[in-house]
Amino acid sequence: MTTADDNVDIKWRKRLYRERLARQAAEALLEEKSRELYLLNLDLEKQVIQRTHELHAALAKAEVAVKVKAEFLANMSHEIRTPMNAIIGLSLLGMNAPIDKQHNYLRNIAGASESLLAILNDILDFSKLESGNVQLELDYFNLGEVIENIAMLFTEEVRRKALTFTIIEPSHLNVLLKGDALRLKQILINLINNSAKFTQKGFVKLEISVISQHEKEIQLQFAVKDSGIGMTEEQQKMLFHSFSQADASISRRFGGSGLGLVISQKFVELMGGKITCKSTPEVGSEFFFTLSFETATLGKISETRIAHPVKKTLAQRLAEAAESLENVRVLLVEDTPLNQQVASEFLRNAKLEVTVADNGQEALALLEHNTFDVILMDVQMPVMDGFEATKIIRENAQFAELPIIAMSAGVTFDEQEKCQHVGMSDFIAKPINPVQMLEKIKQHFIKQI
Amino acid sequence: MLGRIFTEFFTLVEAEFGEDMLDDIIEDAKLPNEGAYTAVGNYDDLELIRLVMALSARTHIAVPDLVKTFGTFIFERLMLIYPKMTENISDLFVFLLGIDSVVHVEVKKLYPNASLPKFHSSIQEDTLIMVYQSDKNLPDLAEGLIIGAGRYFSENLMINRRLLDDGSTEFRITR
Repeated sequence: MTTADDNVDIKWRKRLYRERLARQAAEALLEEKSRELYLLNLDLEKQVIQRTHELHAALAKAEVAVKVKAEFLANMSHEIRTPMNAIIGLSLLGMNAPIDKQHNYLRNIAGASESLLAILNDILDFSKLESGNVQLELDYFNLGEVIENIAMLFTEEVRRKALTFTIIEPSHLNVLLKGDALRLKQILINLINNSAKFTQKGFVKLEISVISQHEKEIQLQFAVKDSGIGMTEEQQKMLFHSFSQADASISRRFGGSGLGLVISQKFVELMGGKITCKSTPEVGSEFFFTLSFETATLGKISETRIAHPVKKTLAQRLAEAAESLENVRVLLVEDTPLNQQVASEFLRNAKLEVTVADNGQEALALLEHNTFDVILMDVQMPVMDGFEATKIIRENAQFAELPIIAMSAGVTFDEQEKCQHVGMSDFIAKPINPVQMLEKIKQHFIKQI
Repeated sequence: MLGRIFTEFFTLVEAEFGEDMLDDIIEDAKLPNEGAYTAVGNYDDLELIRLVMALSARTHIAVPDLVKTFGTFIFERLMLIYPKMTENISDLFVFLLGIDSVVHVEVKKLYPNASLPKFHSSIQEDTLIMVYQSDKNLPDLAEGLIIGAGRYFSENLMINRRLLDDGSTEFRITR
């Protein structure tokens, strides 16, 4: 029998037991949460360490990149200043020299200017390649013509040093290749120039051989060999890695942007190949790469030939380019007086008729009352630029076919594309190559008649 | 269901019906943990439903009325325990509009695993429309909480409640 007191006692015991259970559950939860927090904290610390590490790595990488850029700039500045020094120095000398000596100064100034242009082109190519902005042109071309071109273009150095230059090409190669002929030529010229630069006597040889040929595909190996100073293995390793030459002092001795090989390598890679180098110090070097091309049929047989390092003089080439352009009426739209002088004198010397407009608006006014066969149009000008002017000219049906050739120092793909977009017929890069300018005028002038 | 709801329910039962009643309904509900709840724990919703049903059986008060009363009560209690929830808020509608974006955010900080109801609220002229949606589907509790909120802000509310086709409940509140 239980008393009322016992009942109360049991009730309280139950409540106490319930409270104790609840407290224990709460404590267990607390411990669990503490543990979770601890683990979370540990994980966070790990993450912080890892992130910090990543940041350090990224910082180090960025610092290296900045350093590389700074070195590159310093290097390019040096390379640009070298020919600039010649140009400025020779100009000053020329001004005070007797007339009979001036021609020699001018010729050397022109040579240094060409070197300067080559360096600028290299820098441009290099930065385009670095940013992945290069598109290969895929057209059918005749390898024989590319080779002929290379033989024609023969480098100053090969002639000066009286090196033997040989081109060995496959016989019976009666197909057209699909690819970027201009870039292929650039690669080969780069490699040949490079070999010529480091070869004092003996030979430079371009050898092209068929590795395999199927119905619609051909694999060719291109090799440039020389009997030059060669390289140690260490130097070879450095070759394609940076934009330096095998050693920094070499650029002092041999000149050049030091970008040629890197650019060539990148172009070859874009085409699906890779330049490999074999070299022995004091014996010579060999650079070679293999490329595959789609082919189309063409009946032409070529054979081994020795290149004749005969180069036409500038005067000869100018005369050829100017043929049948006499009295062609050119409207030159250009804002810079010096550039006006350069272009108009080249044109007048070739017996073309030149009218000069200072900007797009003046050009429009002149077009109203005069007849022109060709317009040479600068792109960036005050008052009205070349894009705007071209757009307005093209709106007039009367001028739909009038050749408008852009003449610009902006040589990026974008700018050329924009020129085409507004309706320009062609593009000439500054500095102007007079032969090229005349040839382009002729090409469009003839097309028009 | 958060342990806090259970402990507050116990407080209400003790206050309104006495400690013995609490003992009795705990026994009637046949709970797995013998009614030992801690505010920081998490428990099966069914346990609360069993407790409410046991209370209804013993008091002869309908379950919806009990739940509504509990909602009104617990609102006042929660504001006592978590005064931050109404900090800087002086208007009832502003508070109710911010249930999801303010109050529930605070709850999640303490109880990341809590499964909370959703309110889609809007104001049409002088009427606040709140559409209540919850896995637990306890519209009575929601209504009780709204009444509690009205009392907390000393406002007399008219609450119209209607079941929508998708199973959610719409409250139209005017003051």
